[in-house]
Amino acid sequence: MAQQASAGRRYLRAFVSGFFVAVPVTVTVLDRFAYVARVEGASMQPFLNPEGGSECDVVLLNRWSVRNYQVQRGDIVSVMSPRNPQQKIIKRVIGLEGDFIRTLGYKNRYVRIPDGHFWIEGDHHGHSLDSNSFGPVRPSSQTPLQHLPLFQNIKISLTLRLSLHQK
Amino acid sequence: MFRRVLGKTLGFVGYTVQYGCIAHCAFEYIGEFVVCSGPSMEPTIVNHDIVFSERMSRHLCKIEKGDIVIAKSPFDPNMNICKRVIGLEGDKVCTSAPSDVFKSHTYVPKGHVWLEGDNLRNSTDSRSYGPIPYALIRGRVCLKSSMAILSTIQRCESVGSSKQVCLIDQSLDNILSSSPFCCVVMSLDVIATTTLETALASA
Repeated sequence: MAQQASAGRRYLRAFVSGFFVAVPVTVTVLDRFAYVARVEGASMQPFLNPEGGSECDVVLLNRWSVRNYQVQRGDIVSVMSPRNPQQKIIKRVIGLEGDFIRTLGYKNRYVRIPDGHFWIEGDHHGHSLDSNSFGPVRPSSQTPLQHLPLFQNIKISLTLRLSLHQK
Repeated sequence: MFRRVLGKTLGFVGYTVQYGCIAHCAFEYIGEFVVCSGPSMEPTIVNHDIVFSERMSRHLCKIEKGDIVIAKSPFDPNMNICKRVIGLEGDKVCTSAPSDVFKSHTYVPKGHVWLEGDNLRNSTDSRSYGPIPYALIRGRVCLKSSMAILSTIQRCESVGSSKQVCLIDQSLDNILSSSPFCCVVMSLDVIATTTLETALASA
């Protein structure tokens, strides 16, 4: 009887100590290093979700590479929507600060991107809520800023797409 | 011998990683201490005050009008600013200076907030750079420590075009200044409120 109680207590202690190791480490890794997310919607077709509808791409987001908020033109980034702080949107960086760009449907036809901002657009023009609607975004508004280097993106999404087809 | 040293080193590294991760979770999801510098929130928060900002209300989207928040600076993502929320999305805010004859108003767009410092004469805030997205907010200031007293920051309502600033009772400071880090009871009501006059000296 006493042995069962001590065994139970040992299991409980092992569980608690494991819990306090596993959960913080997992949360830290997901916050600081890498994050897996599913892409919904058609705003990045044909690159992401080319079929649309039933099968959604899964992407790997690299958080470590954007810890200093440095992005390049052509990167695909995931930002918090300025319209809805609980929604994350995935778009491509078109222009950095100081660039002159021509917009599609924005209030000004030509825009010089202000300092400290950049311009994001979805690949599928017309079906995308991006800077053409809400203007240039600040790097700090992507809190946390998530970055998909293109090769990682392709790797993950292709792998998962293939496995789904084989079934 | 070598194996023992290696084992001890690995154990030490493991403990460091574990406690580092626990610290990250605490700072990210519970709260953190912030040292404020600058005169833009006087007299509520003065230069070199230490404040405690809690993160849960930002993650649960419960920031309300009148809260003091820590947000990422819209100019430099590595800097933070400490201001008061004057308007949430959809609110009408006054953008003209008190000395203007014709008042101008704007509506805060969806997903944005309007921030202003308490020291209106000496504060760069939404009056210069416009409303900022809600996603830039990091946390809500709830405790402040200055000199030897830890006091709670009260939310205050703005009335019309004049602003009211909540002051922690000055007499309590005298009583409690002898005991360091004394926590003022949460039920401390707004003891003294005063309208922010333009006579506040700019630092």
